Amino acid sequence: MAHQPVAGPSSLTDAAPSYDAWKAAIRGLRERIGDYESLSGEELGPGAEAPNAKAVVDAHRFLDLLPRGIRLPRTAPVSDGEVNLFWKTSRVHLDVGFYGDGNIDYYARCEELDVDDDGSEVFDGRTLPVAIGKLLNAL
Amino acid sequence: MNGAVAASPPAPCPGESKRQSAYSPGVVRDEERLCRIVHRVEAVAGSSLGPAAFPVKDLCDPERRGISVIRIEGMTASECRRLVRTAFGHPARWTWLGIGAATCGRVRNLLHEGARAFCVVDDGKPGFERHALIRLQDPRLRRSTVRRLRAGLIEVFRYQADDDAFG
Repeated sequence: MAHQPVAGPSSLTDAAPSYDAWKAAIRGLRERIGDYESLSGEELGPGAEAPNAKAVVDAHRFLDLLPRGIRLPRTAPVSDGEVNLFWKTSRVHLDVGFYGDGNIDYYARCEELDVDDDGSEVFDGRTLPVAIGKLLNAL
Repeated sequence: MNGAVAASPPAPCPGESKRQSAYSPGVVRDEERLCRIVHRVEAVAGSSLGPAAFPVKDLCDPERRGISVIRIEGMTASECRRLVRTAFGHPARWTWLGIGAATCGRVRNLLHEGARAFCVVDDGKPGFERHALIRLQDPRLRRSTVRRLRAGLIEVFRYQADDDAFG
C-alpha cells in the first residue's frame, strides 16, 4: 500500500485575510460533518443508514491533512452511511469516502497528472494514498 | 475507461429485454428519461448530481438491489411530486429540491473495461409502477471500483431545479 505525506503549508500565512477566510471555511466544514452523526436514517431517505461516529472522526482526521489554503471539498452524508468529500473541477475528479470501517475509499482522476486510480486502504490519519496526495497538490 | 461512451449500444444485460415486474409498464427503453429525486442540497454539485446521489452500497449490496430511479416519460412535475410523497413514506421530512435526469441510453452506454457498467431494469411496484433500478452489470466489483463507475453517473445525470425535464 503506497502512501505519501501531503505537502506542508502553502505560502498563505496565518496573518493573511484569505487564510483567515479559509480557516473559517474549514471550521464550518468540520461543523457540518460533525452534524452528520446526529442525522437519522430516515432523514436521508427510505432504508437509509446515517454515517456513524467513526466515519465522522475519520473525515475530520482527513481534513487535518489538507494543505493550508487548498480548495475545500463539497461534503455530504450519503444514505449508505458514507461521509463523502468531493472535488470536481475541469481538471480533477476526486471522490473520497469514509464508512467508519477504518478505511479510506477513493477515486482520483486527473488526465494532466496521468492519475486514474481507485482504492480502499487502511486510513491511519497520518498519511494519504498517493493518488489523493497528488491531486490535492494540484487543486 | 470510466465514463466512456460506446460507439454503438453494447449487448443488453440479462433482465433488460424482458419485463421484470407485473406492475411495470414494460421494459425500460433507451430513449426514456430517468430521474433521481433530489431532496438534500448536498446531493447537488453545480449543474450535476454529486456522489451522494449515487450511494455505492446501493450498487454493491445485493439487499439494496440497485439505485432507484423514476421513469418520468410523459409525467408532469406535479404527478411526480405526488408519487414521491406517497412512495417515500416520510413526506413531512422531505423537501423537493429538483431532480437529476438522464436518458436511459446514456446510462446503458457507460462502460467499464470495455463492457457495460450498468443495467437498467423495470421494477414497478403497486402504486409505484414507474420505479426502475440501475444495477451493476457485474455485481462482484469492488467497492472502490464502483466509486470509479459512479463518476460516469455523475457525468450523465443533470441537475434540474425547475420542472423543464417533465412534460
